[in-house]
Amino acid sequence: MNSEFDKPLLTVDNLSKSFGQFIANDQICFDVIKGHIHCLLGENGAGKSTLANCIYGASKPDSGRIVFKGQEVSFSSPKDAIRQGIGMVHQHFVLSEPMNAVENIIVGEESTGTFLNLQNDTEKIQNLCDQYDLTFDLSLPVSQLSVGEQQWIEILKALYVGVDLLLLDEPTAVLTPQEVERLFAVISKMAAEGISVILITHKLDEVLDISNSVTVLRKAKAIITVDTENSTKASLAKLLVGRDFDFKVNKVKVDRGAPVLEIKNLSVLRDNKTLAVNRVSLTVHEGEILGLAGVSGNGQSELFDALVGVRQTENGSIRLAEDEITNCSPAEISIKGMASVPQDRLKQGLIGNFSVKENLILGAHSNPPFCSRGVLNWKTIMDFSKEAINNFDIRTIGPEQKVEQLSGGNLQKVILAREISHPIKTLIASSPTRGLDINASFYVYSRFLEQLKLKAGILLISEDLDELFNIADRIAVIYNGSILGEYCIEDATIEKIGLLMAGLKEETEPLVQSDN
Amino acid sequence: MYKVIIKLPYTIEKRKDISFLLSSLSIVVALTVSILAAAGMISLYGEDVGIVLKAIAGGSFGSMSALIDTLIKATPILLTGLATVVAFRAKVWNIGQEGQLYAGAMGATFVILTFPDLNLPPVVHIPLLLFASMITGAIWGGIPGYLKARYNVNEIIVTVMLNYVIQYLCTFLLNGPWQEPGSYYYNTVKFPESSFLPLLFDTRLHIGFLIALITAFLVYFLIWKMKLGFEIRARGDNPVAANYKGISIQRVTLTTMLLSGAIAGLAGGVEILGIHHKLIWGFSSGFGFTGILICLLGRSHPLGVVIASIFFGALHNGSSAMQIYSDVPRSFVNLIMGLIIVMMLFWEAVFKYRLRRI
Amino acid sequence: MLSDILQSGLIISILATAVRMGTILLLAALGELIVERSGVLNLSVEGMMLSGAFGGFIGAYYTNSLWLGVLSAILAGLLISALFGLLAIILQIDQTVSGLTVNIFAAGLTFYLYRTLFPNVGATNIPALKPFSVFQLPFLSDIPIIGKILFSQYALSYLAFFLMLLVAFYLYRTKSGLILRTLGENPRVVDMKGINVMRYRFLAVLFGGMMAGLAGSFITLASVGIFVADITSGRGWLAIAIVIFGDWKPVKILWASLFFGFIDALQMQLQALGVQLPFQLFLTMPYILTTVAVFLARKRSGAPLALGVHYERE
Repeated sequence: MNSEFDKPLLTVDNLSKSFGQFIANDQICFDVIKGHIHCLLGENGAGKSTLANCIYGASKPDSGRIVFKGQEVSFSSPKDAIRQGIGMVHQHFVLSEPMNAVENIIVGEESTGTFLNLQNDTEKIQNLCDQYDLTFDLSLPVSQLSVGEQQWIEILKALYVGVDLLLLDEPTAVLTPQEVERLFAVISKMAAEGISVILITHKLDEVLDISNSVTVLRKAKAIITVDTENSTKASLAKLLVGRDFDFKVNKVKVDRGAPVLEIKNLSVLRDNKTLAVNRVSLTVHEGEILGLAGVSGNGQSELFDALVGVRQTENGSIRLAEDEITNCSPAEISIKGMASVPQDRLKQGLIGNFSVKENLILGAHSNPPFCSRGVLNWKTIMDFSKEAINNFDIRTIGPEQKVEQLSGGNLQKVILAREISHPIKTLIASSPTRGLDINASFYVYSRFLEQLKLKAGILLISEDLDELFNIADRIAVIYNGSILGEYCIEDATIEKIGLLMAGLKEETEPLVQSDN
Repeated sequence: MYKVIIKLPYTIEKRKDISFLLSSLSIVVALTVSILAAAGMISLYGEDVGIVLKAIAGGSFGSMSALIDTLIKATPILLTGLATVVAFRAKVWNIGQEGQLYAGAMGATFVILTFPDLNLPPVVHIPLLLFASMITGAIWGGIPGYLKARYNVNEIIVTVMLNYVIQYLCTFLLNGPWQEPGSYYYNTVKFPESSFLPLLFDTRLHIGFLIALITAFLVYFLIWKMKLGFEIRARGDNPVAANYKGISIQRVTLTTMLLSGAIAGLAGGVEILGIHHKLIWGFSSGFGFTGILICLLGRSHPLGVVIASIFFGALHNGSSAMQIYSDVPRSFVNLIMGLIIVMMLFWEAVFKYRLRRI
Repeated sequence: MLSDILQSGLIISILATAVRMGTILLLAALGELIVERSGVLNLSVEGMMLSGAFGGFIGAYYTNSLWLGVLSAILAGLLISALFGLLAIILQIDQTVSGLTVNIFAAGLTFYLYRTLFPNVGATNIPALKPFSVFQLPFLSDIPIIGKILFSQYALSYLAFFLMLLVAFYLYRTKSGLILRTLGENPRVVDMKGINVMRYRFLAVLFGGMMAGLAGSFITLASVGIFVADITSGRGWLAIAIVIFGDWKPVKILWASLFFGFIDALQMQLQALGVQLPFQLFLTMPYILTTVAVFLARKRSGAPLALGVHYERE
């Protein structure tokens, strides 16, 4: 359809952007052709999102040019970009939850008239939906839609104003493999209608599946732009990390021991009293990592909360080694040897305004030696903190620095230092490497593996299948609050796990059953 | 159409934190601006600014007796300020200091009127009465605290409402069962002498000021050195993370309100036992609300609160002298207080922005 | 028979007072509704109302025109809300702290100005003016019972009902209303459409201030004709409670306002009738019931998701 002789729709020429000392984009160049799907491939921190923000007008490049439709453009806000025909779907959706799709799409759109005409707008949007085979209820509040459907609203927003170029930032991170397929179908259709798409990703398979061309970003630089046809997974991987790369963590198998965490028939309610976790049974043994896969919002966070004691259970029991911990308080559970790494570091794990040393004793602050008779022992706390900072290589000015000033990797190190500096029986981690660069991620993994040798068991809740396949010994899949199946890592494949994540139970029997 | 774009080599950024130095500077600037504004307004009255300011300064710090008066005036607001510190550190928005102060005064009065013939020595009687003040203050703070902790009911509205409730209750008692027989005014009989707070250094300064200073130290110790203070600050900064790490938010919320109420109640007890020696209608000229102001001005720090309360005590005291020596009314001070706090917030926020070279 | 008539007369009188007191609260609550729907928690309604009560009194006192008084009340509310907007929105100071501060400032300012303008006021020579009289709507006020309750009210009450309809229409039927509601739920949605979040919120706050000022003028110009310190006696806080109790929805807020107006009226009428209970205890009724109301409303789900949260770009 599109010949190679087409003029590029978008040209990025020598674009640079830095934040203070930190260079995010260093003289980036690439073209996007009309109707093409172009991938920006790079690790976390390679500068993909910054680049997208520059194109989209959310930040201003320090130097370089952006040429769109043959004209040099300089956007001062996303609104300018949209007006010119550039839309973006962010990784975290920007939606108003209590409102429906139509309201979310039309709010703030420039059009004549003072009054709302929702009926008219609904028709227009319904037509767009039909055009791209998107079927969902436009009148439901966003909060009642699935993640995939919420993403469609974001895409519809762009289609509604009629974009020529759509940027998608890691759109598949929150989707099941099956939802990814539907998304790709929509993207292909858009490309066929002449809309160019920039897909930002760090997943090689996606690049190979769908794109026409790919620009590989590494350490703020655009390494190369190639046609996808001429690429292989291996060649892209090498470009991505700058060296031959094995995708495996060096994992030494530890002998599996006695059960340290036994969850039996556990049911947990959401805040709105609906069932979030439905009769879940899982067992974690000494020296093993049980991965829990699933699309977010299928009960993982409620399960996590119940295990660490901040949410009441409805039914069932939880045992931590020899101790019954069902509905115990978080403090009791942690004393009995449960460590936890929550998903949102600054919201759930740390107190941003507290110093490193205060965060390091959070939870243990009422126990000796940090506290006696209600009075804190700051000297002991200081000594402990210095040691922890040393042991966990926390990059900080000192124990007095507020943690909100630390980077993501260092935040996670503070949490780990707090949670596993003392002997534990079980560690529960939820998306422990989300948003971390590759080095920080591997640091986290190495600490996890070290705990296995110390006879702890780990329950790893993650949406990142690569991560689970890398370090888990077994993978269970949670869907809609229930465990649909469980595989030994040797028997698990992306396809099998993907089907379960989408709620489709396979005919073939899983080799390990979750129950007895 | 041409757009003129001037590119300055600077950009304005907002920083998360503000250094101690800048924070102090913001107070200095706020005070300076407020004083200048006050001077400007005084001159509008056709008064000599110098003379008026001198009258204020003389009336508040100019002599031993003026200084003593200032400290007496500072005592109740220092305590209500400390009550606010405890609550605001936990981000429990207790606006009910005024009501808790009334509750405290009424608690002490209740004990005195119910047991008129105790004949206890002051050494026993006074602590007993102050204890009663703290208990009733804690109860009046505990109600919204319990509603917040147990049912997540908005504590701001409840504390404000309870302020009104107890003030009407107090008026009712002073107009009824507690009224001094035969009195036209709303007040109780005079308390027995064993309940009078002892005076310091043969002056009018009662030990209430000392009690307030000790309370300030205790609050400091609580906030920074004790487990409970750690938990109070944790609740204030990130209740979610605190909850995950085993701090019971409900317990901290209730404890905070009980403690805050007790300190405000103590203020009420100290004020009537130290000054009036009876419960009298209108014994508080908004001490509770001033406490909030003092807390904000003192940066929620006990030492800051000590300084701010003495400053406000001085302002109050000096205003009497001002009214004598000039046409400027006493209520001028209310305006200036409001102005100072607005200015302080303003400048602190402004100093959060900085220019950065690009 | 006679007692029956007396009682129905009493009931009518209580209900008419309920509507009058309720519409004062309604005005302030509608303003606060718009402010909170935009995502701003404005706790300075009390201060804005007090300024309105003062501004209205002064304006009318010096111009001899009640309507110019109303105008100056609106202006006073506007100015105070601009101060709140400066602190809470432009400078992004904690909204709770900003609200409390503005309340303290407004109380100090009005007290000072009143004392400056009327230096020699004692208990016996409080300056007063002749307040608004009721405006009987032609024909409608002749309807038995209903006419007395609903259509023999002050002009400001009719205005309040009209404004309720206007606010409801604005929120749910206009594009700007949709933007405002979205601001309260997720301001980023609106920001990404190129709309200035701060400006919108600031305008909402100004509207809230004008409404609170109007409500304040109702107290001094239509009820009592005098001004004293703390004359609003917590009604600004009541308005905030009404918004919660009314689940952030205009019609429910109307009912909530009338309910609180009824409590106020009951308190006044029973007191006037000399029911054998000390009047101070009657006076506590609205406050105790407000506490009960916010307790009952604790599970309301209509609160805007971004209420009280500063908006910062990523």
